[in-house]
Amino acid sequence: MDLTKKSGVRKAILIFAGIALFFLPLGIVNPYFMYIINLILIYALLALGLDLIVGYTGQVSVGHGAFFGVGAYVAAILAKNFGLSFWLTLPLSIVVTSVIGFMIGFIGLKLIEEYLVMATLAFGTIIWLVFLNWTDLTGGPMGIAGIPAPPTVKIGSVEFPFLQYHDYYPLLLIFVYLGILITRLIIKSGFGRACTAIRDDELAAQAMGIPVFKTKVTMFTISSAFCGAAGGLYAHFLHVVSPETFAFGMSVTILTMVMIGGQGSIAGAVIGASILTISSEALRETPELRMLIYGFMIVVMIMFFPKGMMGVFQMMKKRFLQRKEQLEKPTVEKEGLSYE
Amino acid sequence: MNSKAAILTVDQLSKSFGGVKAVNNLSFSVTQNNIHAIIGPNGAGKSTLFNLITGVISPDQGKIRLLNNDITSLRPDKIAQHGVSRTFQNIRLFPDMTVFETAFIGTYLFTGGKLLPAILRTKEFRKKERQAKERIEEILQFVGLWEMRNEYAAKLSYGNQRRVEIARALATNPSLLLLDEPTAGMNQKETKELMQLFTQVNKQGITILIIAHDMHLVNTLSDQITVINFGEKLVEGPPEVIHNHPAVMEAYMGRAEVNA
Repeated sequence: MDLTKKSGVRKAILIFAGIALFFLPLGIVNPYFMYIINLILIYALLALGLDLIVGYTGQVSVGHGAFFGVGAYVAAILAKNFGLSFWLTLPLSIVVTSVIGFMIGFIGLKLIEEYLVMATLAFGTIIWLVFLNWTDLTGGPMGIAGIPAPPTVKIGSVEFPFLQYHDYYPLLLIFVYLGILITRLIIKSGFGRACTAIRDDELAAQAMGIPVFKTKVTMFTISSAFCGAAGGLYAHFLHVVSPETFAFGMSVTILTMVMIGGQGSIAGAVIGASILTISSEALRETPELRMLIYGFMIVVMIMFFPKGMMGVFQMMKKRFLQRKEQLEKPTVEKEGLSYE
Repeated sequence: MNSKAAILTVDQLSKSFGGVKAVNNLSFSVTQNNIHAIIGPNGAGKSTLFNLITGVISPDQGKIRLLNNDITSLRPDKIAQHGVSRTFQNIRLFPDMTVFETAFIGTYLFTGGKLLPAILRTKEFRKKERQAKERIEEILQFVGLWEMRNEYAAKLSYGNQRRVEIARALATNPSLLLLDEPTAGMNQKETKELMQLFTQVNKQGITILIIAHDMHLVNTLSDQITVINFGEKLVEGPPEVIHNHPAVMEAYMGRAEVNA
């Protein structure tokens, strides 16, 4: 059928683009640009994770910046104090963040809507205060510096050391691809459908046999696991973690990425991460303005484009197709619309 | 009919909200494969009864049994697992889903919500997904929505929205289907078509418990009618008996003047 052929072509283009993206660093000389691109990848992973619970399950969290921090600190502490390699610290950051995410989700998700937002805000702040004040473990306000780079990867006789920003890019890209793949696999399953049903109508979802609380907690845990992975990558990429990175502002930033990109959309999460990372780098000189602008962007998005940039794209696509259809077929027969 | 077993037994059920006894010591049973109607004036406790049966609220007293299982105070999703499905008085669809997607949600109990098989895309997982899709195609053909499967459910006409709800409920593969005022606000044509659909559903071996206001609908459709008022059972019986029962007339029309 025409449809399957079309989706096959689309898949081939996506795979080709996905592979082509690995060669992006070849065209970029400036290490600062590479640094920003790497940051985008880390934020994309965060936005994908938050989108799972906000976009697909409809439970708003403003505590995910803290989960990002837990991942980063766990990796930093294990690498610095115990000398573990990146390949061990990363899975452990994911595990620890998931456990904390599960505990917070288990308590917080008994609450709904604005109360859940308040609870995640409170938990996020508590975790941030721990980073700030448990000086023996976290280094307090100074944070932890000198986190080692991942060990050199050897494939056959070819070595891939992690020396400069360019070297991290393929590693981060692989993790973003993994994140996208897992998101897709989850969304296109009974579990993922259950989440969207809960987002749309909890009572109806439950009447269909969906265990609402369990599903929400599971998704919250997966979502925090994404942030844990992003945190572990961040610590080894920047070699330094400090508490102010993971304050409330970070949670808001990730949420803004999801909202601007478009909730419940993989491409939206990536677009949102790109827009916000670039704009926040551009606003480096005036950090006070940043939150003001984010707030303004969120308000504008919610008022005019509730489905984010992806919603805008879809609207444009729909209009384009409609116009095309009108031009091709001035009179549409009613029978012609049937699917049979 | 007497040889058939009761699928649902409600035993001395009571529920109060503050001082109001919404359901008061109510007992009745629904015979398998019947269409059983619950009627009563506004505020008689019909919807409360439905919410009690489906686990949305818990009773103060009494038992609800489904076949031989006690389902009293179970969570709604557990009750759905026992084979009870429902539609809502105010149609509850998923606003961002197409007709197909909405009905597909009903297959949750069949496909399950396990994560690992979903991430690994096991053979079993893919088989179940395929079977679930086939089942939805079958159901949408049955309720007459297959042509509209890719439209947003919330944009359909009122009557068709109700069909989507019924399709979604059927997808859970229920043995008992609860319909809460399914034809409220429908025009005559829609009501008639929906009644035909209910009969067809019933013919598939699904017991139907229906709340209704429309006496015509109740009389033509149901095998058994339970009339409730102020949370208590007034009378019970087949339509012929209920139709001219004085207690029913009184509940609906008020007490007759007994001036000689």
